[in-house]
Amino acid sequence: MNHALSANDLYLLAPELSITLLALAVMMVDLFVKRRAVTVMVALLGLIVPAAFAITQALTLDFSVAHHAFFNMLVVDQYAIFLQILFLIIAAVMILASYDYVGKYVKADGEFYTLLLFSVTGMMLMASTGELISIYISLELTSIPLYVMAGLIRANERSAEAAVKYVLLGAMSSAILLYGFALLYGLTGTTDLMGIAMLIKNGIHTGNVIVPLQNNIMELVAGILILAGFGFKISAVPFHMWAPDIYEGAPTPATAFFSVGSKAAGFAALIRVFIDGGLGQVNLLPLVIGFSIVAILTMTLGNFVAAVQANVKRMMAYSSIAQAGYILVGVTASLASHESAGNSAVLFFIFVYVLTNLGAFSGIIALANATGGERIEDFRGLAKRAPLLSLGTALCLLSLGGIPPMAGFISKILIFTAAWGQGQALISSGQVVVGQSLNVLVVVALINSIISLVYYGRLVKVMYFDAPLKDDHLSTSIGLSSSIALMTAALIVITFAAQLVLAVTSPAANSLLAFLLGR
Amino acid sequence: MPLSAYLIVSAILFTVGVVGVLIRRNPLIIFMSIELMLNAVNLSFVAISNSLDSADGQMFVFLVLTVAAAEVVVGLAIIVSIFRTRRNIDVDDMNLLRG
Repeated sequence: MNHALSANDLYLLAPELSITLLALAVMMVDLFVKRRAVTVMVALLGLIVPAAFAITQALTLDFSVAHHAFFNMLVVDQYAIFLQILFLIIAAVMILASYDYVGKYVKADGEFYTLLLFSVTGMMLMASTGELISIYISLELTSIPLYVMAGLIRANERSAEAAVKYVLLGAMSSAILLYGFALLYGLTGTTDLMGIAMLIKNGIHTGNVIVPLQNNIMELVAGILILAGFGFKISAVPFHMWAPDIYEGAPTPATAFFSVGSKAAGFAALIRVFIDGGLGQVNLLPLVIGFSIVAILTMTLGNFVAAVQANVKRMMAYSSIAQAGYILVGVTASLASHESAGNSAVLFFIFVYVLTNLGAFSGIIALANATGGERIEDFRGLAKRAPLLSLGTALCLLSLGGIPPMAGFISKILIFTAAWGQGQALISSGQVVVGQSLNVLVVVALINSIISLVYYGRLVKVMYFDAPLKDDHLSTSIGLSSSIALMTAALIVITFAAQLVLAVTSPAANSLLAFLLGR
Repeated sequence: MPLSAYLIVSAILFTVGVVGVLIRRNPLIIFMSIELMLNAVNLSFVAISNSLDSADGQMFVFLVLTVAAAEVVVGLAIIVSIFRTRRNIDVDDMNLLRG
């Protein structure tokens, strides 16, 4: 191993380094410049630098070999770069969409952007670390700014309450995750995911004997604890209790950020640990059953409870819980058989989910700002009062519900067919129970995506077919309307050119599996 | 002492911490319980690191301690801010938002 720190290491870390510097710069600008528009412009334009570095890496690096830096702590592969660009898109859209809301409700308005950028730094690192210590640190770097963002409206009791709940449950979940890491470290004696994968595959050396880890209960316990720890971050049932409360209480732009950023980052690290760490190589059946139970509970509870909510933000909270369940179906499939189809479908789903959820949330922020209410009945007849806004929001909602031929439909089809195909392949290769649990998962997911149409459709129906409360014309700011327009445009482009995104996600999925399959 | 003794103590401490988080109503005590959980993990790390002769576990402990301090700073600040608005920090009274 090369122990010297080289310039190449710094180049591989450049996107994260530059966004950290950007966050510091935004903090300084906010101190000395009174006008918030300047801070926002610096933040928004500054995002071009890390994005340029990430894109340059994607174009110039030779991905036939693995790129590691800082003693394997940093792994730069197509998977990492894909997710990093996604997180940068999230940051840009959030800065655009939150401009008016933050000015109106949040006193510490400059800090909002600094916290957002620090959190995005953590998310980018979560996608690109291949080592337990750095995964833990980037997880905390993601979470701690989020706790503060939840409580940023200090005078508001709800916001403060959301922040207390978030910080307590978040801290507890990272303790659980750490316990899982400790057990994994104890089993293998290394914190490097590649080393862990190797040792789990070959067995561990104790003295002169090699002990295989097959049927090792500790490996299973570690897996379950790690799933539970990440379960909080991705708001999977039964670790979801915090999500609706915090989504309702936190400032709405912060809520939008939690629902996409925190979740996507949680999945990024979860997939990295389970697939790259090779935890599924032994004890596959109990792990798959554990994942399946969590996925089924997440989808079913999320959809059923979302259908009875009166508050739009709570409805979106439960909807995002249900969406996490669909992603878990894909993750379970790629855990069960190391095929890139499942992984690629998961990345595609996350991409589409992030864009449509950001669009839907921007629409909801805009409409709620304009009407002053967040209940579903406040949205009655909005199509007549704000036709373009309602159109964008409705398209995003319908895509989240998976109406054909929207991008959301394509992403669901991809996940379900990949899981079904891998289930069938496993059954015919003899792993009957694992294959059957995948097939059961797909059936449950299909039923659930039909149920989900009830509440997405209801909101669209209320907006389009109910009588408006007032006969006026609502308008919104340039920031929000441009973020909705961008997301809706992206949604339409993906709908018609899904191949473009798939051309990026499948090498990303392959790069994740490359080490495990010995390529 | 064998490694298993340390791991058993650590598991007991962790469980005590989890129970504390679940049954206590004061956020400060809940924070203390979370610290107990983290320290149980740290004990495991140090014991494993010693028995395996590898320094990674001890590095992990240093970083966990630092990050936990940062987390507590943010947590206490949030608790102070909720105390300012309602003069009471009992988690049972935090029922404006219902899950």
